[in-house]
Amino acid sequence: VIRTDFHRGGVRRIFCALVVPSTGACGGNGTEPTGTTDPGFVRVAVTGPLSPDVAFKFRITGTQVDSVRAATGTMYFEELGPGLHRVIVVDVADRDRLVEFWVPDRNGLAEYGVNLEEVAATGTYENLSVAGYVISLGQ
Amino acid sequence: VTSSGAIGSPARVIDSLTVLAPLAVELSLSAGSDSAFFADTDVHLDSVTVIPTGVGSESAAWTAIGGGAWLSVTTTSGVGQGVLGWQVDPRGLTAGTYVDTIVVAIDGASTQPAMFIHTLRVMEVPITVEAAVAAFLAASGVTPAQEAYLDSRGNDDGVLNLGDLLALLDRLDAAGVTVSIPTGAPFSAATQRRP
Repeated sequence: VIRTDFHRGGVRRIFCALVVPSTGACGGNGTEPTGTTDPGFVRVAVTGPLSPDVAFKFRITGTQVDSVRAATGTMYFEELGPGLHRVIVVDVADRDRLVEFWVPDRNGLAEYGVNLEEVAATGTYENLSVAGYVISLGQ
Repeated sequence: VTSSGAIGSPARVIDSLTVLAPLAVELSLSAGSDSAFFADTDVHLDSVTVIPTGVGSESAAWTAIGGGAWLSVTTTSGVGQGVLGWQVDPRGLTAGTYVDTIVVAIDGASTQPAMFIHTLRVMEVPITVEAAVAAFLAASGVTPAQEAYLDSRGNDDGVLNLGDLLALLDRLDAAGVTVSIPTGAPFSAATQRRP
């Protein structure tokens, strides 16, 4: 069974189940790739001190970072170069979902990275140590 | 005064007349000025000393009036020598020169009131908003002088960093300036106006 994307995969799986239930493969001549992809959004989350209200500046690395969007708050984004993106998020309400971005295959999440660069308090504008924070990628 | 045959005549009577100054008021300074950058939010206080003079100056009551959109008198009255204070608020002002006058008068006095003329010069930001935000994202495109400006108007810690951006965004919010930075990310086209 080959899944290609959200919409067509379901149809194809049904089709395969009906037509070629015994082969375990789906394709006109049996040469289609057999690997699966899982396209979709991944999220950037951060843990750390709960207060004060802070803004985050971080880098995302990965070849196909698409449709970056802030789940809450306001995001500033710039592509610094191929596979390198810088994001600033302020007024964050949900640290489990700082931003989301789309990748063509979430199975390859290990090829993406996120690195926290700065944390600053929104009330005092003071730059804080990033030592107490951990930023990560997840689904 | 002469009295014929009197010892000590003529005697002299000295009559003196002191003409007292009328009740009036003076200020320790009559004019002042300062400057601000466009989108600054630094509200600050200023003051001069009110000095009543003349008869009854110690207990003379005075009143200060003046101000407008950007200058407001915080000490509107006093008795005897005292401090006249006011607040300068550059928020919302576009670049230009602003002049306002504070008038201080002694209650019931017929003398001329004293005046203080305050001039505020609002200068253009020495960097565009878009360039400033881009500087925080890409860490390039700004001169050392511009970095120093952004830091001095931010957390003033000697480094251009995220805290300075937060300060800039707050100043822009206060000034009603919308920051519109394309994300470069497909379909998120997010214009980054703060909520």
